[in-house]
Amino acid sequence: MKKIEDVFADYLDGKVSEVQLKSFFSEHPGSQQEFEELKQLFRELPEADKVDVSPATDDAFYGFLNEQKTKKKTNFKIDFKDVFKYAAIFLAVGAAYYFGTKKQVETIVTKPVYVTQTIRDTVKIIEKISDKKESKNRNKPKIQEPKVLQELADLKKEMIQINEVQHKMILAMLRQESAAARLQAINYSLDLDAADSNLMNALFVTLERDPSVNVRLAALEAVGRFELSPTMREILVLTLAEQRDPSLQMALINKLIELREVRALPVFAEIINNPNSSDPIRSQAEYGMKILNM
Amino acid sequence: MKKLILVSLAFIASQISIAQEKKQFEVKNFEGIVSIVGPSSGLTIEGYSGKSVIIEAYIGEGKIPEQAAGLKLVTRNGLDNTGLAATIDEKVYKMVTKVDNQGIEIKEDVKVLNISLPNSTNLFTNYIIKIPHKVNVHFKENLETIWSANNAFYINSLIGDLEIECWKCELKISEFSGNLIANANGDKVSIEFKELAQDKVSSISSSGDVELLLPAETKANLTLSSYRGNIYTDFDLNKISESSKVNEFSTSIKKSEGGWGTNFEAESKKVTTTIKGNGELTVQGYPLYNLASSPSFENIRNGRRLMGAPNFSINGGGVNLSISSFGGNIYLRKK
Repeated sequence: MKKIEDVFADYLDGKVSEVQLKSFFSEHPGSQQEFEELKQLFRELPEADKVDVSPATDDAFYGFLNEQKTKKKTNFKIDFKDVFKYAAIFLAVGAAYYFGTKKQVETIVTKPVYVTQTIRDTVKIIEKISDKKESKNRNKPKIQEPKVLQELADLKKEMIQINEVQHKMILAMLRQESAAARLQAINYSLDLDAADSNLMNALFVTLERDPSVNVRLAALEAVGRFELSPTMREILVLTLAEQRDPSLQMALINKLIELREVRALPVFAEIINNPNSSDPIRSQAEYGMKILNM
Repeated sequence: MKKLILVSLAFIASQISIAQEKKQFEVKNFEGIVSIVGPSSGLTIEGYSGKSVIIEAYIGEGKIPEQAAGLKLVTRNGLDNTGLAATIDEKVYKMVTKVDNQGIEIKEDVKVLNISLPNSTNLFTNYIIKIPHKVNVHFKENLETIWSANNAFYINSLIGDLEIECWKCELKISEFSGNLIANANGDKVSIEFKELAQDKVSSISSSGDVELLLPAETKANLTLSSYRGNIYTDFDLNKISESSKVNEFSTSIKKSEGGWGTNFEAESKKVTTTIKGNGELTVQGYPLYNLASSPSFENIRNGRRLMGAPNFSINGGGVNLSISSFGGNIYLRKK
């Protein structure tokens, strides 16, 4: 792809027609503005080069020039168009670097808009910056991060730590003597959206063995919120097979129907054929048989 | 004829006096947990302002045979050491009683008074166990007792933590103050709270109808579920949305001084961070980090509704109270 600097150089050389320029601008949105900026820079260039020099310096320069001329004659011919071309390219690159750098610094530090915006926006910016950093500037010297960046990095770290502590607390609370405390632990787990394997195991152990039916019912709700592996689903089937409490039986039957767990069918059949099963439980198992056989 | 009537009356009176004669056993100055195992039918547990645990029972129709003279009655849990066909033992257990805000368990010595009541005996009937206020009570019914007589199970004026598991019982709780974890499989459960404890959750599950009376000003977050029945109430219920549940959790986190804490200061703004959706850690709703990308959190909540989370609040919300019935209706009334 042709760069704007090259086009500008060609333009100075008279190699680009107005039609070609317009075509380039339409193909590259925003290029016209950059072109005009370069043009302006180029116009200002001779004035910038005009420097007041003293007559002594002038004499010294021309003396030195004549001396060089007598020493070594070459066929070197200065093409002023080339000079301007390279000067323009140099200036354009310099300007691009300058403006580019300037913009980035503003984004991070000086533009107050980001600091006063919501944390949500700040996080967005941080993510963009961190993505850029990771992809482009791995080896470049680090730009000093503003305070808010550091705070949010700390926040992220702290959140992960808190999540780990939450897991640890729930596991410890599940070992408490009080059923209310164990139930509270399960309630806390309801607010988690991710669980490590230790917590999942603890919830399943609670479901199978906790002395309180209410705690076991809550544990069933808690594990049922997560995507369950085939092994976990099998545990639910086995728990139902061993279950004698009607509340838990009902909750397990409903959960297994919801999961469309066909491995529960033999257990449903057993419940239906068991004379000790209560009518609502038997009826629900029959309903489950129908659903899972569909 | 008169003589006959008088003799008959005297006989009836003697029978009544025998039937109403009570015996009691006292465990003095008890503090800890009273754990009762036995049939619920005809049992009464009463709270009172004394310091001793008192077991009372009416003398039944049966008599100890002469052949048993000098012998002790053997109960399911050992020897009858109360004179009431019941066995008690007092033990101290190391139990996890607290968890600090870093998830470290705190174990303490807890005194437990185990009371084992006979499954069926004609020696004593209608046991009454008097419990000092603020002593916690656990009651568990044995499966083998469910075929015995089906009289009501009364709990009156108790203050403290109460845990109940009973089979085929007609549970009637009145004037109860504290937190209750009850699983009662019977046709009907009626519970009247004098005060619902706000520091611990309560949960009631039943196979039949649940009739629950709460003081009108009770603050609670309710989880109500009835598989095969309906739910009726005269409380004004407010639906709890999932987002406000997250906020509520965050608030409770903050109260626990850091253990669950998620409030941070950034650029002079209080920022609430939560974990929601598909495992995302969020800052005021914007994702900061996704736990799903972490190998240690492989179990991510799926998008289904939170079945076990509170769905309604009363009087602005408070402690979690779960009420569920799989075979009956729920009647939640203002007291």
